[in-house]
Amino acid sequence: MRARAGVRVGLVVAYVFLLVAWPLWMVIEETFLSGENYVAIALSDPTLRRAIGVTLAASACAVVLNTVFGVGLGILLVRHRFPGRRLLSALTDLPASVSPIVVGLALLLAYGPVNGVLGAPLADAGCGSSSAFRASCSQ
Amino acid sequence: MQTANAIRLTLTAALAATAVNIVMGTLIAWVLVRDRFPGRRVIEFLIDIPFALPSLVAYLVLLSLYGPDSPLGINVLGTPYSVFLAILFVTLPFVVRTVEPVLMELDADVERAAESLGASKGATFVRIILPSLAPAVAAGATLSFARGVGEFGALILLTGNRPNVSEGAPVRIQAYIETDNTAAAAAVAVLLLVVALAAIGALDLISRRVARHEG
Repeated sequence: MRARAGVRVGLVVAYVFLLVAWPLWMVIEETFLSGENYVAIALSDPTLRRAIGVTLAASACAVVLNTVFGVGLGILLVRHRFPGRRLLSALTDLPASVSPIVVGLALLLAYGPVNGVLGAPLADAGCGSSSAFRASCSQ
Repeated sequence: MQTANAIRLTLTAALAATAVNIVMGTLIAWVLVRDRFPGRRVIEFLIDIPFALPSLVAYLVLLSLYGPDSPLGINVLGTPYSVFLAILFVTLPFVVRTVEPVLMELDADVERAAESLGASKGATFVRIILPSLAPAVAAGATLSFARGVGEFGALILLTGNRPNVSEGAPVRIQAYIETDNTAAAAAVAVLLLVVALAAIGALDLISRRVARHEG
């Protein structure tokens, strides 16, 4: 019995090591241990700093909206019975399982600044499109 | 034709990765819940890495070990296996995380009862443990399949996107968008959407069947 447990553990450790741990370690090694301070070099680029800023701002925006609408949606789905509830529940799961590129295309067609149906009036609403996506991601 | 090949590759790779996930995910969950060994918490932590990493980073990570500079001498760059590997990486947590809580809740007394009644270890596993794990495994597998079909970030870089060889369906959509062919992009997108919806539908059926069993 102990031998069989050993084989099990060994198999799992080897699998996770080969699929996650080792590849991850090689990236860390290349960043920090290959001589130059690549993190400092990368961060000295203002374009990168701005890109990180945009990502963080959009995420913060999305978290706030998600919390509000996510909790609301959760209460709605659990506490109330109404026609279309199951459809709404399925739609809530959709962004999590559909390809990001499909989501991107759908949002582009709906909210794109050029030919989006709703896009033109919303064109300068800063974190609009990415948070709309995140908001629908939450349950 | 190219698009059909891309869709076929994506579906095959997602199915294969899901099959691996069903076996390995269940095994990992089992080991994490039932076995105590040094480094268990490290494994526990590593399982969630693919969730937390943006998939573009996943590409960098995988390429470091399975790319042209691989210390193992394995280079999947530009082969269909790269699609499989990318999907395998990003879907690792799904089955593990759905099976784990069920396994924790599983009553060890039932297993002991089965054994005291003369069931072998194998019979106990197949007749007692597996049926209670099956819904969780199925749910995890469905999620991992849906995510695998949709995976984009790791795919676009790791696979080299050689038409008909290692190009996945989501990458095809991007190519259509870039050449301003939104109608074709939308067509492929709808197809992936249908696959995702079917997966969600299956998940819903599974969870309702489980609820009925318990009720």
